[in-house]
Amino acid sequence: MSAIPSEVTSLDFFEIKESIRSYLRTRSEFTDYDFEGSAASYLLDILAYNTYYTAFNANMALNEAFLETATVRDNIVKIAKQLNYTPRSIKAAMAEVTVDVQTEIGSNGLTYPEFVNLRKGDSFIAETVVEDFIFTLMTKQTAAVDPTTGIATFKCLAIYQGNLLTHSFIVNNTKTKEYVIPSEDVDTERMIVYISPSVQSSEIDIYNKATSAVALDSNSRVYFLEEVDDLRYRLIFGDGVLGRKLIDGEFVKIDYVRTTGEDANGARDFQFIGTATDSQGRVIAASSISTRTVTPAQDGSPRETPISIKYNAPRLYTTQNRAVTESDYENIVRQLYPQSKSVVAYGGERLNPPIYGKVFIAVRPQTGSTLNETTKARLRNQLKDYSIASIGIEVIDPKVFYVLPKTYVYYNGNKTNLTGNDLGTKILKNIDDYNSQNSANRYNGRIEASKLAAVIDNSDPSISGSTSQVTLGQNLTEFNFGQVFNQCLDFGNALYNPDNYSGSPTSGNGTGGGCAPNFSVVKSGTFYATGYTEDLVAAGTTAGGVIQTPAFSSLENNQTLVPVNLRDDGLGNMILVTVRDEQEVILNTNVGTVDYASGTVCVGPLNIALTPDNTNRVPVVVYPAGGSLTVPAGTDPTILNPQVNPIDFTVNDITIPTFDPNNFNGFNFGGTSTINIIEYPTDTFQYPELDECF
Amino acid sequence: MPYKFKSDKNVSRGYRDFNMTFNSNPNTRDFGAVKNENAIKQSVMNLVKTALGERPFQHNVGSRVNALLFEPYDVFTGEAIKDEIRSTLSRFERRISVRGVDVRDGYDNNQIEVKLTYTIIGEQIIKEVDFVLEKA
Repeated sequence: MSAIPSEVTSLDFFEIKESIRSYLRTRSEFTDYDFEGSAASYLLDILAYNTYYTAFNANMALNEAFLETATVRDNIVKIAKQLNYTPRSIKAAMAEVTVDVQTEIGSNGLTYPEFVNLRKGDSFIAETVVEDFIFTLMTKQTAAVDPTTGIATFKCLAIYQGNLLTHSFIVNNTKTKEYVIPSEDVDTERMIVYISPSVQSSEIDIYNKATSAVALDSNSRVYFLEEVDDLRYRLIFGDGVLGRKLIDGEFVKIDYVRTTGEDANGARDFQFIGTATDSQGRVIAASSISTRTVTPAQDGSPRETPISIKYNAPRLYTTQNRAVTESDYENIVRQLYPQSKSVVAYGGERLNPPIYGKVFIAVRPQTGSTLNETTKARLRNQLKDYSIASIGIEVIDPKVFYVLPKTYVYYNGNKTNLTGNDLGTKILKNIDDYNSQNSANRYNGRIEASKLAAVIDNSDPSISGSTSQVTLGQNLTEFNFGQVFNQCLDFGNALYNPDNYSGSPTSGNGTGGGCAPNFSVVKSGTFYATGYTEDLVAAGTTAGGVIQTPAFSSLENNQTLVPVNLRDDGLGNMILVTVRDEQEVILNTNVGTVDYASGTVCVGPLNIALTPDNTNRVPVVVYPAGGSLTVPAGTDPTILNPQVNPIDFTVNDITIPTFDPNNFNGFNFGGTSTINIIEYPTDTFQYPELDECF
Repeated sequence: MPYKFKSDKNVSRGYRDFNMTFNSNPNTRDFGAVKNENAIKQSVMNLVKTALGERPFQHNVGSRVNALLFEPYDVFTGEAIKDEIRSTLSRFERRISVRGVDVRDGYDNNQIEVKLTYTIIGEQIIKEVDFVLEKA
């Protein structure tokens, strides 16, 4: 039976051609189609090409009809428009400058002018190593002149990178009018729309961008914004029901900034290149104007990418402009604050102790590690428009806990040319990659020891296996020098309880008649505590290594503060210690508590006089029980400073325990063993400022 | 006797191809066809006159003869054209065995005259095709 060509939807030319050829084989009219030179073969080419073209076109057209598969930006934008999503425009970098203008004595020869004006659109130039950027003043500014010095100071002027441009339309309702801004690099946030009754009229209304139809009526002075073809933005005015309808002859003027976006970030050293005039209308010479940079240019960002639109549009649609679930808050905050690198929201009921009726939103910006208070307040206020009444919103800095892996890697030196150091470097790079690749999923997740071990073990074929000891770190931060403070650090994971490993001889000071615990699982970095001086340590009477009675001398040099550390005593108490003559001296046995089961370390009351690096940070490390870690709500875990110790087992066959309760040498108070799982930290923890990290 | 589909019946072993001119047959009012040696001759001409890359997705089908026509004609160019014709036919026309290619410059008429002699595989008779490659 003759087959008809079946591969009509194939996207392979040769498959289609072979299908037609197979069909011809079943016919007797022509026979030469197998020979490339035959006319039949030429005809088959045309038929197959036409079929291929149609199939390809149908495939592309259908792909472009769905958000999931569309690739052309204009098509993605159109589909996103159905979800009421307007892609983010390019954003101009903003800088803050203070301008001092020295005026001259006025025409009366006696007094300085009253004020100085800077016009809207006046420019500043910032020269950078790469190129020069023009920054623009968006509104007219006036500053009073100091009558004694003649200096007018414009404090903290916000200037935006780009050129201030104007586009205008005259409303004509008799034909369909499109209000499209004829530029593709428009920062829509900096756009100002003025409407006046006619071109000549001085009466001006400013229209604002509407983000939803809620609370709009026929008199609302609003416009809607949407992206149209070729990266242009179109303004849509009200229809007389939702928003005021424009009347024939009205004059629409749009001021907007055309910018280069993130390229200008970091620009500083501005120079005023506009025209400043005084109250008497005199132009002030450029040499009399000086500019100081308050904040270098920042927050410039590129327009939203097609991939980002495809990700954000359906998610924002699911929020329906209402913040109800945790992910609603996250999506809306991403929209309100596009410079966020990551956002996590969680209800207060997930905290320990729970705080009901509040939602906490931790935002990490793209630059720096925390938001400033102004931005937090702005976000909080903006979120009120979306959130359910009676729910409190707290914008917080993400808590960070640092995961500090110490890894001992066994490898076969006969199977690799790498030295131990090279192997260590290779493993470190893999851990770094693992750290950055998993950044998006770290919130609300877990850190599995097995995953980390697999990353390490797969770094090189010569690696036989590894043992990793993981400690956790956080900083004590809520203190001011010289003031008593209390702070609890929640590590969210159970810690080893030293008392459970202290053996059970009948004598001892441990609980239940056991031995005193022999190791600590909480240790802090070195700092100086108020009141603990050389004098106290040297002259005080001690009993059992604990300072009992402070003694003070009148010698000034004896009042030097001694370096101290915090550690737990293995029984749930935090103690303050120092080292004197290679012996530990306990200075205070009651400076906090440890809950080993929950992993909460509370420090205080304590008075820190000084830290070695003079920052308000004291590092605290703990040793969690079990290999895998739970990440507490709103905490951003960062793998920091991994230590890798490669051991060539063909040369040096030593055993590294993960935890051996009977081998206290490895976990002691500062012994010389190299297998000391938890040591006093030396440096404070700082969030790594790497692009690929988080 | 069971019914035999047309495809199952004996198919002629002769060659049958469309006529490139697509002239209609006055009797059948169908388009014309060429058969056997004429079909092969038409195929040979098609291959020589098709430039590389001309056919969709088959960039190696055809010959470089077209490009060589505009080279200054000398003995070497003539040999190159001959080689190209031989090579093209040996690659794509399996039905013939080329016996000889003769190329002559028709300088006055802006053309190159080609005389190709070949035998059809399975037959003893030597066929001869004369055609002109025009520089236009």
